[in-house]
Amino acid sequence: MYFPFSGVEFPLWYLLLIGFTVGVCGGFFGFGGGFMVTPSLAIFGFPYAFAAGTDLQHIAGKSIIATIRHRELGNVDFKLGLLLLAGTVPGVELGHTIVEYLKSIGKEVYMLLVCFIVLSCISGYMLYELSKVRRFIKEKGIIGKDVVPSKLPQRIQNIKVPPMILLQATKVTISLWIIIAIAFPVGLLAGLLGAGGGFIMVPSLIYIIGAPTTVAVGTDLFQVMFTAAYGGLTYALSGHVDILAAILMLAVAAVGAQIGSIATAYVRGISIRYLFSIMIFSAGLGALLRFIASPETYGIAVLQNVALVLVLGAALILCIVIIIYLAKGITAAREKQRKAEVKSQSTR
Amino acid sequence: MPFNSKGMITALSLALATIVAYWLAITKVGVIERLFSENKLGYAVLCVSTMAICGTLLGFFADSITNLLGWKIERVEEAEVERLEE
Repeated sequence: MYFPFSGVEFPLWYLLLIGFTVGVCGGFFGFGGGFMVTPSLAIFGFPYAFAAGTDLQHIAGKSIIATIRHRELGNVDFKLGLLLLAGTVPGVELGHTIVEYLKSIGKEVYMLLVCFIVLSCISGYMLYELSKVRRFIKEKGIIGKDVVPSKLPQRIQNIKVPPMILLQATKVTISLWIIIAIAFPVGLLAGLLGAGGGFIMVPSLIYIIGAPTTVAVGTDLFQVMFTAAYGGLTYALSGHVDILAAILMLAVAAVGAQIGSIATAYVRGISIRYLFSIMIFSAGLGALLRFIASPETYGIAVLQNVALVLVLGAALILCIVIIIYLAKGITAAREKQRKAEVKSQSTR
Repeated sequence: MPFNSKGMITALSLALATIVAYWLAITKVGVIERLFSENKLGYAVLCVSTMAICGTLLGFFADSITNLLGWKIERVEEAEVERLEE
């Protein structure tokens, strides 16, 4: 199919597959999926800036859909989401300026290395934390709690620099300045990497602010809605958005986002974090492979395809896992409801 | 949220109409292409507003669909989730 704005010929089935997969993963993990979509579009011929701009536009639309669902599940802390914006918006703007500068001097490819380092660090920390959680749960015999044994959120909450903000959905009181200090670097990375920033915001909300995993996911999607729209606007102003591709991806992402968002109601916090760490590790590895594959570095072209297969393969597998979780959860819930109805009828 | 068939049909019709209108505007009439080449600000506003409108419509439409399917979507307690996962 021909896309007149970017001037490229692109396989429609592939665009729809990316949209759906990233919709499911985005709704479940709380990220926009920029680190998957942007390289996927770029590798099939979209110029990098067009891929990033189109991706940000579709993320903005998809985040609205997922936020509507997460709001119903009680997973969105609107106050926290709005306050995060005070830091993320200037960060996105600065990131975009740096991208333009890097492009002008031909060093754009180094963003991939930054991406790899950031994602690997987050993934490594999450896997380390999850192994600690498993031991902690075993030792204490805890059942039914979203456990984060790290003392960091407690220490952060004890920094009493006014104004202190009470976040009801997150159930914490925290300084406004800390929220902004977390949000700014996240926005900067989002602008730099052409992504919504969810892959760093969700762990930040969990491990630094101390939000429950599902609330971190829902709140991040709420604020990604604004940052992606803002990022998308800046790309569109420079003419780097293909609205036709964005609309087509949004149409299928709408279905995927529903599946992903609803599945969070049936999965434990630690399971979400575990799958999340796998996802971002594969994304980081993909970025490293693309860095090595770039003609400006080592020029091993075949690694471009390996990177794409790795990232999309991981996303597809996780997408299937999420759908299975959802199907099992709904079946079990229905079975429980049916049993309750039979029981109430027999007592009558 | 109770099932609302009128709301669902309206949301679906509007979402589909928007997508078809864009499709025609891009492929047949070329209005958006002209805007793209002549007025970048107008094109940027169009992009953002389209995503906002379509996102909202599709979100509420999907909401109605899940209600139609009879899925009881609600927050499940972590202990219950643990049991379901097992």
